[in-house]
Order: sequence, then structure tokens, then C-alpha cells
Amino acid sequence: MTSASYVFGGYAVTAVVIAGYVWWLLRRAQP
Amino acid sequence: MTRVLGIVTAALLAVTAVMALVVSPPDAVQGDAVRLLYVHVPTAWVAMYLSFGVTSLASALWLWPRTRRRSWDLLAGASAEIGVVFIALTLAVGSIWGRATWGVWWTWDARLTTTAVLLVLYLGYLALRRVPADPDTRARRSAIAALLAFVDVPIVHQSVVWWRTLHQQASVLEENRLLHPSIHGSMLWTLLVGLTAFTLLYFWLLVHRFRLARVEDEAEDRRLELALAERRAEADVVPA
Repeated sequence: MTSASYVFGGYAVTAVVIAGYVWWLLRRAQP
Repeated sequence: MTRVLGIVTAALLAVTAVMALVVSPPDAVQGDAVRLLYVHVPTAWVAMYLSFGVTSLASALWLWPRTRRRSWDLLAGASAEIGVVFIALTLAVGSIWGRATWGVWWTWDARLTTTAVLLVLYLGYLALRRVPADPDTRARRSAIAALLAFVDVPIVHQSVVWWRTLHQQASVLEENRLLHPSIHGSMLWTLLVGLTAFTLLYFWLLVHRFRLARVEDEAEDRRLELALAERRAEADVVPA
């Protein structure tokens, strides 16, 4: 794999994990 | 106010992505893989120093009788959960970076191992918070566990100095080069913008997680009062 693939993988993992946590947090805060 | 913080955070995260992926140059040795620095370092900063630092401070304030408030316990738990998410991210992105530069996903290096221990310690802390107990008992043992777990943070920080390790030394927070860090100007700026964006993200998440903790705490109180009322009602109808 190229360096760009690893960079893409690293940024994708970060975006998915943070978006998932934010989604979980806002969903649980619903009344 | 929280909404403004959220919008500013999202904008700054977008600026970080552009600076990290487009503006900053590739590294002379690592090439494009160095761009993982702009995610790896901020997530580590948020987890180790901000999240676990706030957890420790709030735990100490709960343990100190003069400042004891239930809010400190809730804040400690909220911050630790965010820290666990970010330390897991630090390990995941670090693993990808390790594969790109060292050729392996994982190695039992001092920095990596002590960081993995940190994740396990705070997972244990979150598990301890879920063990049923009255609120004061739970807060006391959680606070003590939080302070014990934080001992690993300076060990992680110093691990690259104390042991021979594959992991690189500090690029910015070097003891003797604070004013002249060994990192290129545009890389340093990108890193600083990333650190600011992730710091704001932490505070935005903390506000939301703390509010949720308060709601959960009030719901737990109501359930307890309801259960007690039911028991009293049962006792009234049971013949003597």
C-alpha cells in the first residue's frame, strides 16, 4: 500500500469514530 | 453558546484537514505518512492531558471534603469516557502510522505498551463506575481509581526518554528546545491548528456528555424514589 492509503485510512478511522460518538451522544440526549 | 462552540469547532476541524492534507509539505523521510501526525498528536493530547487531567482534577475536588459536589463525580466520569474514545483513536491511528513507517501494525514498544495500559486502566475505571452502589460509595472508589490510573500518564509521556523505543521523541515539547522546536514552520502551524480544533472538540463533547450524565443521574434518583415508594406501599398492605 502507498503512504496515501495509510493517510486515508487514518483520517477515515478518526472521522468515523468521532462521528459515531457524537451521534451516540446526541441520540442518548434525546428526551 | 454550545451551538457556537460546535460551529467554530467544525470549521476549525475543516481548516485542519485542508492544512494537513493540502497545505503542509510531505516529510523528507516519511513522505505523505507524516500527515497522520496532525491527527495522532491532537487525539493523544485530548485523551492523556485534557480528558484524564480533568478527570483527575474533578476526582480530587470530589475527594476534598470542602469542595465535594456530586457534579465533580459526574464531570470526572464524562471526561474519562471522552478520554477512552480518544486514546483508542490514538492507538488506532498510531498503529496505521506504524505500519506505514515501521512496517508493523503493533510492537511491544515502551510508548505503545504504556499507552495500551492507559486504555485498559480507564476502561476499568468506566467499568467500576457501572458497578451498582450508592452514589457516594461509587464516587469515592471511582475518584481513587481515577487518581491511581493517572499515574500512568507521566510514564507514557516519559517512556520515549526512559526506554529505548521505536517511537520518536517529542517534536514540540522538548525540554531544551521549547522556543526552537525541531519541526518545520508550516508543519508546526498545522499541528497547532489541529491541537486547537481538537481541544475545542473536547470541550464541546464534554458539555454534551456532562449534560447527559446529569440527566442519567436524575433519572437514577427518580427510579430509586419510585422503588422505595413501591416497597413502602407493599409494607402497608402486608398484614402484621
